[in-house]
Amino acid sequence: MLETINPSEPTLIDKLLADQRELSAVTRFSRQHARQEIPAQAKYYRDLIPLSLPKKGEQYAFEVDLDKCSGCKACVTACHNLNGLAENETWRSVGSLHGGTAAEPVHKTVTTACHHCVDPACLNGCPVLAYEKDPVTGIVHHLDDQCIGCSYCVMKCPYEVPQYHKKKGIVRKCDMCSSRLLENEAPACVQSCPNEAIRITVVGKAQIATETTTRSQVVPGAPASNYTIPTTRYRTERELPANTQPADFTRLKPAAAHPPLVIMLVLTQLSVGMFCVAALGESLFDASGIEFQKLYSLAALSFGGLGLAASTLHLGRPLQAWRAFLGWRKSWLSREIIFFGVYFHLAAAQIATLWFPLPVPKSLLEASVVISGLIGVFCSVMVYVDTRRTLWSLRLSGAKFFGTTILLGVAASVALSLVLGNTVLNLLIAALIIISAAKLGWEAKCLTTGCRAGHSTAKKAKPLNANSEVATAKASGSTGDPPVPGGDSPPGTGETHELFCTSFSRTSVASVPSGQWPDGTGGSPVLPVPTSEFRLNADEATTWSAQQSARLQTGILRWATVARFVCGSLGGMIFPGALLALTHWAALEFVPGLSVGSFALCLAGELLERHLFFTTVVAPKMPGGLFE
Amino acid sequence: MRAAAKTSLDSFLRRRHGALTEDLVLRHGDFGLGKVPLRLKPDNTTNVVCGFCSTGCGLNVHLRNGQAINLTPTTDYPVNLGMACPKGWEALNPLAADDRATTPLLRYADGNLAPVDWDSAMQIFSLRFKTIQDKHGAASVAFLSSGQIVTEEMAFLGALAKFGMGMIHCDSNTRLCMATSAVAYKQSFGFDAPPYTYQDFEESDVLVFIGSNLCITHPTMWQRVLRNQNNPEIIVIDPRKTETAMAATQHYAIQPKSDLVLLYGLAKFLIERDWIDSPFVQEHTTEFEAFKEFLLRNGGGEANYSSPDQSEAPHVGAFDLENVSRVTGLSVAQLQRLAESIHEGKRVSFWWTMGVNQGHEATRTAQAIINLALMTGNIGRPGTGANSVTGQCNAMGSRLFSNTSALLGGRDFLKPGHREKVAELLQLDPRSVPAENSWAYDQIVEGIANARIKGLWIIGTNSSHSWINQSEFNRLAGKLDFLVVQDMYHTTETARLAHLVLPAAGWGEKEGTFINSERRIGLVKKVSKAPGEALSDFNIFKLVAHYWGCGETFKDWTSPEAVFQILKTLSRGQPCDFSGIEDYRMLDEAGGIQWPLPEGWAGQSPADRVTTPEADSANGAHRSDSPSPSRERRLFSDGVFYHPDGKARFLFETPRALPESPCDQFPFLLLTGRGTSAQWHTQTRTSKSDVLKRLYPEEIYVEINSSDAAVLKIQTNESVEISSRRGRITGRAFVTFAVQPGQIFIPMHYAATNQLTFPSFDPYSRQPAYKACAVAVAKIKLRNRTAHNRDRTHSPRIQAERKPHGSRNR
Repeated sequence: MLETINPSEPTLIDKLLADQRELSAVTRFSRQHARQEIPAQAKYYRDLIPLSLPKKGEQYAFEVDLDKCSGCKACVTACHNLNGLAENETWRSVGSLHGGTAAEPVHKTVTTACHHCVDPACLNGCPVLAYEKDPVTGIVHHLDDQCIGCSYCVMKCPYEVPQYHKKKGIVRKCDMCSSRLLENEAPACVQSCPNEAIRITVVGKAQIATETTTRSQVVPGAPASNYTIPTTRYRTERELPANTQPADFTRLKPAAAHPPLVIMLVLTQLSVGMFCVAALGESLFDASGIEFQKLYSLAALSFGGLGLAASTLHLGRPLQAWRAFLGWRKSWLSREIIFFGVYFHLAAAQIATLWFPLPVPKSLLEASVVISGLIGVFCSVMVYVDTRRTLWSLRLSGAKFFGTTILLGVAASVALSLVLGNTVLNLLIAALIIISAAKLGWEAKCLTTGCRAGHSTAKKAKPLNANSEVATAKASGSTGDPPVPGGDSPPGTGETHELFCTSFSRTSVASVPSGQWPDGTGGSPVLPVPTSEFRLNADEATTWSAQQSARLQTGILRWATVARFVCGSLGGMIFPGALLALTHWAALEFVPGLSVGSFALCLAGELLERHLFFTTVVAPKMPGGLFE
Repeated sequence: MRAAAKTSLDSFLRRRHGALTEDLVLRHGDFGLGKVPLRLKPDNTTNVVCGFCSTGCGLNVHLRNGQAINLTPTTDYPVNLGMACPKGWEALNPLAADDRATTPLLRYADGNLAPVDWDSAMQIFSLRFKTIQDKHGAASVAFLSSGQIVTEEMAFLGALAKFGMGMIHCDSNTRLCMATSAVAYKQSFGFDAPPYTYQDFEESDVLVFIGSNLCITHPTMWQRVLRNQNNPEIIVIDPRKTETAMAATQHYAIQPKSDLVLLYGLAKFLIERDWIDSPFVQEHTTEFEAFKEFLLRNGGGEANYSSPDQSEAPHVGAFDLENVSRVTGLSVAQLQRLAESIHEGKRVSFWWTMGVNQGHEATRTAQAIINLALMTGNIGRPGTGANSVTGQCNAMGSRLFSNTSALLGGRDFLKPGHREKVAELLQLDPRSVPAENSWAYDQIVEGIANARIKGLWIIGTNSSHSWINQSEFNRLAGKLDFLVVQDMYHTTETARLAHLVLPAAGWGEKEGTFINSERRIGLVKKVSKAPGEALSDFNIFKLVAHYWGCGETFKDWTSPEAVFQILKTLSRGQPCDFSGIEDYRMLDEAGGIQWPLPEGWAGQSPADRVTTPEADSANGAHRSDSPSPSRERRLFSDGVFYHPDGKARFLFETPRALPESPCDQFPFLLLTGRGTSAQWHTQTRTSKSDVLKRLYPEEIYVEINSSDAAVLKIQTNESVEISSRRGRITGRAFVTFAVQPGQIFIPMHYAATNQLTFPSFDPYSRQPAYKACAVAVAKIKLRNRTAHNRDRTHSPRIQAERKPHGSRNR
């Protein structure tokens, strides 16, 4: 049987392996259009792009027909291939909206890319002016070689448009295939949609801006449009029911932790805090002698320097960061960098006076260090406030950042004084306890408010039956024959139920009837204004977001939360309390250890607080997909 | 001066140029491509038919030095008009995956797979299989193949296995998707012949989609629907509110597997209203009177195909609208509207996919659709037809040439004339052509269970994931003496079970032809180098023939194109005759050619007479000097079918209850199907692209109706446990109205899904009924999860809190 197998005959295998390595397509099949310059696909997309450039006051915009979109997602892959993006980089993404009733379910796919906003948040936030809004086309361009990879635009954009490219250390984004448009070629997504659901139109900037009210959003579930005034228009002839929500509405996923930023914020605040305490308690430290002052100031300066150094680890291209002052007119990040730069140099100068007296009044120098530092911290606050995220509101960020400043300033002063054997006012230790208690108590209150908000909204949420029925009745006109609720339907299908247990009450009007749409074009209705009806009102959105943050903090991130409170209370209350007792009974041998421990725990607590500040934030975004 | 200084300062401070900017620069790509990334500018392009689904889109592969570097869909390919779904756009990516099999792998005594050279692998292959055959008989070795390989490879494999290696039992994963359509067409029309061309999507005025989520499964076909200028009624019959149902003008959310009753009810209603094309029925069909009798009387005893299970005869009036309404969950008014829409259409086309094919009475359901088309005269004209939308890229090639259930060229193993013809054409000893039919997939699996199959060769399919009730398959795989898996990846669930893994080249790394859903033969080209020592399946079969000792029998099977010429000969005189296609070059230049195209076709074939003006002009644009086959060709325009009498048959049978209906213990009905357009089957390829991975949920999820979720206190995002009599899995809940109460939906792509499915089969096509089985759903409490996992013996905790639906015979 085996004679036929001849193991000493390797030639067939060799031949086949060689054959496998030969690429035959080119030699065997010639292409007919070898040098054809005009794109073959042009005949299909000719009507999907404008014939002429926008006039003054106008710009290009995406327009998406939700009814034509079948959810194939070819646009995402076409954009990826035709723009030569990195393997895991996408400039377009696809989410979905769900709602309706048992009798008339509704779901829509929502394709989204850069909205080329009238007032782009990315552009406004960029510290190095790496963004430009084209004066003619209105396209928001990103200058890749200018980018320092700070990713602040990623935080600023409420639509998750800029994509950070780790290997290159920069962000990149959709430019509406501007070089294609320039030569009357359609953008990749427009070319590739089998259903002609995406097109480029010319819109009036002023008109878009006037139409954008505080209640506008491009589609249900999208962020409020009044922040950036996005230009993309989503059209549908079918009404979206009142309970329409993104598929990822209840998604709970911790946000990026940004450790360098955590360290930078906490250490710069510690540094500023130490200078503040020194300025406040001048009499105290003056009595401590010059050596103590030198050491104290050096420590404060070092913490600040470490913080600033840590921040560069956050940058994709730190060597280009010297340009960061360029954006000072609009960017809080730019201002933060400028003020901390000034602060650091002033502080260094002030310390220098301890060794080499300068012809500058000491108090003036001290005051300017403290003021520039506090402005720096304020800029830090505003960097986050300017992203318009609930958890990063002025109230919450301000209280946290300034709270940390004073708390760590006091903790460091106490520790340093006690370690060096200086006497310290019990008042300062008491202050530490009070500040810690206040900050922890306030944080705990915020957390419980967030949790409670969930319960109360759930209780308050009225069943969507009434609204849903309105939606069904209206939708029947355009959807043919909706199954009759009840009656012949199997039991259950006639009933309506909430899709999400934590729904919010909405205005009962499902949508504006066709024909009364504000654009007056006679085409299919545009969503921006009418869907404002679906939007959570400002309070509800805030509550929802706070609730999601609280859920993260008590759910996936509960151990970090526990650790935060344990560190905070040990370092800020228990240990200082013990210190008070020990100094009272003069059991001084434990004091240095305990005071260092107190400070270390306070610092750890604040780092954890800041870690949670980043990870539990709910970033605004376009409707996402299922379980992305 | 100042302005210049300002400009130079600005250019110093703001860098508009540099390597990073250059990285994204676009330039003219020539070849009619428009702009392409400068980095990826091709020096040539060539059209390759896509290797995922049966749409058969043309992909214009961008080449540099003959190697594929990028691709765009081909504009002038008649199938896709420059469009592709995400899988097509990303088709090159899976080739570069790092888990490609690059050398043969052999399982050693220590249980691990380790590389061996091809020579050893082939010797072991032959020795082990021959040893098994010596001990247990030639038929104890079987193969399971794929609808994803080219026709030439299928034919080589089928011929090699049956005529060279003595195998009898061979099947393919096309059993999982298209067996029903093949059998239904064969019985109704006399040959397995989907009659349509994609142009029909554009020419209908009523399109009826039954069990088809075309928007997601075949996005570029949906493009053709939207190009329809007749403002068509788009009717979707599907238990779920799918993307296609959303896009439809009429959606009928029937109870799962009530389709046969619905279709018979519609037929009866049409007959009662006399909305029948009597002249057509008279002239071109048989058995209509019997069908009418069956519908009008009671449907019990008059069936001309007896049910294998006679226990369930419907009562008198089973197909009255009232009863149909009760069974389907649709109102009488809805049923009337549906029937009226079909009646009012001038060009009505019926389209079905897996919702029909994967049912326990699938063949009769497909034929019930064919019956509707026949009785209303909606066949053979533009925009009409009873049209099965195929699944895999080469399921149609498999149906004609896999040599598994049908003898090469759509012939019959049981017919001596057919065997002799094939033996003559291939210069074989007629005795080497088996005179018995192959077992179907499920029978081969059963053969393993009762030790009649001891050796198995799996080629390009992932049975361990895709087979219905997969746990049973995985258990049985351990009983095999020798399991060979030939695949692109060594990591598939099935390859991990193999004794020997043979590394195969994939789509784009080899040549051959696919036949798409509209019978279009399209060309696959070699545009990328296979990794390591991976060989095309064709070359592996050549090696096997050589090492088995039957190389001489296949001495003419030298290359895919040589085999294509052999296949032409085999097709000659058959309904699928494509002997008029000269060679690959002709296929390439014509943009694929639909069968039939017999020799001397120019102006002869009836199919070529039905040419749309657009198709004509498209042809004209391409070639001026030589005649070319029409780009859109449909069948039966002369009303002549393939039965000897030239007539189509009405086939019907008493509907049967679901094999596994929901009960108190398992009160839900599980529906499975395609998740997104970015996912394909068991995801061996689509999970290799980072971009595709962004387009679908990575984790298994369960769609559940809002009312059921409320009862079970389940919210979106929460973990739920789904159990059936066969398995228990967990997934995340998505609360929706898109599935009906009492039903849940889980996409088929996740490895766990088929632990639940119930192995029932259509008796004629032996296609597994993936679409319905009884399951229970329970919420998993986060904190109890560990305890819960330990508790493997507890009974399903959810009792029926609501009257179960879906069982129509209660």
